Amino acid sequence: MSKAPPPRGGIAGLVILFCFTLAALGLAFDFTTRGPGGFWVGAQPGAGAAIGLGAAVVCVIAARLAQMLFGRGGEEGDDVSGHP
Amino acid sequence: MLAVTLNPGFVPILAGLLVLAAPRVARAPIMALAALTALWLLLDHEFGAASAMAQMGLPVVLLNLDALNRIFGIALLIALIFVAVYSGARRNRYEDAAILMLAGGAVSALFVGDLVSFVAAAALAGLSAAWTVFASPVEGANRAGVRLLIWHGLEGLLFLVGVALHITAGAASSVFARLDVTSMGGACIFAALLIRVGAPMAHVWLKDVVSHASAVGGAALSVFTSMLGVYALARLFPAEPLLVPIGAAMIVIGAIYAAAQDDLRRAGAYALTAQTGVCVALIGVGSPLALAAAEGHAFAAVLAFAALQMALGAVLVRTGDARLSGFTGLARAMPLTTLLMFVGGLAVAGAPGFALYATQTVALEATAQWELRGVWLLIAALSAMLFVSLALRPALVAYRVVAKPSAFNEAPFPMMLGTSLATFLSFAIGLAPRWLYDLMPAELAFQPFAIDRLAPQLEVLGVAGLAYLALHYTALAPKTLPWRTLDIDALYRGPAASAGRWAGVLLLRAYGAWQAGATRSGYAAGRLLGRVAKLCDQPFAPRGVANAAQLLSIGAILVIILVFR
Repeated sequence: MSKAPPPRGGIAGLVILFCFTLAALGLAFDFTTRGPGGFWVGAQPGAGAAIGLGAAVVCVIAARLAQMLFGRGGEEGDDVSGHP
Repeated sequence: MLAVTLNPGFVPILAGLLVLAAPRVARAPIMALAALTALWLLLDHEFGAASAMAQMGLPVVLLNLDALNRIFGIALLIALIFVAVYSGARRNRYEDAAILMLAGGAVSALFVGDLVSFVAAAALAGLSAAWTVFASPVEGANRAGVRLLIWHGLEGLLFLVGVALHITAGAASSVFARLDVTSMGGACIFAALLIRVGAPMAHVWLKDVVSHASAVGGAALSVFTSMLGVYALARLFPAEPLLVPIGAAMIVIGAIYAAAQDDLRRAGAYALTAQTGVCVALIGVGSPLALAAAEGHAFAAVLAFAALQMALGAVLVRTGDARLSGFTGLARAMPLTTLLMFVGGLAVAGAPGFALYATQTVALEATAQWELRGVWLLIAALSAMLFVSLALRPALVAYRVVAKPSAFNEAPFPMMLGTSLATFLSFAIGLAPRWLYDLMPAELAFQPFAIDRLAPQLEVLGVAGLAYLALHYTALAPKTLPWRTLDIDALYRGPAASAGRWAGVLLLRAYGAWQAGATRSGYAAGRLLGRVAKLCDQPFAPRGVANAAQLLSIGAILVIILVFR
C-alpha cells in the first residue's frame, strides 16, 4: 500500500508575502527618506533589519535552549505537579 | 456630597455583591453597567482631591483624581466592559463576582489619595484575584490560587510594614506622594510594588495564575493585576534609577520565555511581563516624555493583552487548552477566533496601526539617549520577538493543512464579540492615537506615523518574520511539541518544597521524640514520688525510716510553734 502524501499548503505563502512587504517597505523608506544620523549605531538607517534578524535568531536560540535546559515533556499543565 | 466622595472603583465592588444573587441573564449586563457607571463617575469629576476624613488620626482620602490615575482608570474600566461582554458565554456567578471585586479593588486603589486606603484596596484586589483563580474549572487552579495568596500575602505584609514605618514620620506623610526608596518604609513599599508588577524572581505568579484561570479569568487577571503596580510605581517612585535595570530584566525574561512556551496563555502572560517591563524602565528614566510613554504604554497594553487573552480563552473553551502543539488545523475549526488570535498577536507586538505601536514610538523617543541605548535596543527588539512568538508561530501552526480537518466549532458569540471589541479599540487607537496622547499627563505633540518612525518598525517586524520563516523551514527552529518550560518557581515548588517537607518531617520526628521522652520522664518521676509518698504514708508501721521521719517532722513543727509563738 502506498502512503498518502503529506498535506501541503497552509498560510506559508501569505505569511512570507506579508513579512516581505513589511521588510521591503521598511527598508525602502528607511534608506531613502532617513539620512545618516541617530544617537548610536542602532538608530542608523537599516539597523532595524539587524535588530529584527537578531530578535528572530534570539527567539529560536531561546526556545532551543529553554527546551534543552528547562524543558519537560508531557501534556499536563503544571510545572511541578504534586507540589503546592 | 456623595458625588464628591464616591470613588469610581466602589461601583464594581457593589455590583460584585449584586451579581452573587442575580440570575444568569442579568450578570453580564450588570458587569457592563457597573463599568459604564464607574466610567461616568470618573469622567464627570474635576481633577482634585475630595474632602479627607480622619480615622485614628490619619487622613483618609477616598478620591483624588488627576491625569495620572484617570488614564489608568479609563483603561481598566473599558477593559471591564469587554470582559463583561466576553463573560456572557458562560455561567459562573462566583467568578463574575470575583472579577468585579478584582476590577473594583484595582480601580479603587487608583483613585484613593492615601497610603492606608491604597493598601486596603490593593489587598482587596489581591484577594479577589485569588478568588478568580479558585473559581476556575482548569485543573490545578486551586493550587495556583493558593500560591497567588502566598504572593499577595507577602506583598501585603511588605505594604503594611512599609506604610507603618512611613507614617511614623507623621500623619500627613500617609498622603499619596513621592517616596524615598532609601528609607526603610519606602524600601518595603517598593519591594511590594515590585512583586505586584512581576519583577524578576516575582514574575512567576502572573504566568501561573493566567494559565490556570478560566478563559474570562485569564483576561481579567492580565488586565487588573500588574498594571496597578505600574500606576503605583509611577505615582510613588518616578525617576527611580533602580527601575531601569529591573524593567530591562523584565523585558528580557518575558521575551525569552514567551518565545519558549508551548502554552500560549502562559506565553501571553510572559509577554505582558515584558511589556510591563517597558513601562517600569520608562518610569525609572523619569523624564516627562518617558513618564507619559509609560502611562500610555500601560493603557495600550491593557487593551492589547485583553484582546489576546480573550482570543486564547476562546480556544481554551472549545479545545480544552491553548497549547501551540494542539493548534494544528485550528483555523478550519475556529476561523474567526484564529484570525482574532493572529491580530491580537500583532497588537501585543506593537505592529503599526495598533495602540502599542503608538506608545512604543514614544518610548523609543524617550530612551533615545546614549546611556539608555541598552533599554532602547530591548524595546525595539521586543516587538520583533513578540511578533514571532505570538503572531507568527501560532499562525503557521493553526493554518497548517491537515489530512483530517476538525469539524467547524467556532467560539461562542459573546466571546468573539468581546475579543473583537478589544481588538477594534486597540486598532482604532493605533490609527488615531491623538485621543490617547491627549489623555496623558504630559502635553505631547507626537507623530507616530512619521516615516522615520514607521519605517524602522516595519523593517524590524518584516525582517524578523522573514528570518524566523527561514529558520522554521530549514528546521532550525524547534518543533511544536507538547512540552513545558520550568521557571524559577520550579525551584520553590520542586526541590525547595521537598526540602521543606523533609525538614518538616524531621522536626515532627524530633518533636515526637521529645514529647515521648517527656512523657516517659513524667511517668518515672510520678512513680518515684508515689513510692516516696507510700513510704511516708505508714503511720502504724512498727519500725522503719518513714516512721522516724514522720516523728521528726512532727517534732520539728512543734519546736517551730513553741519558739515562734
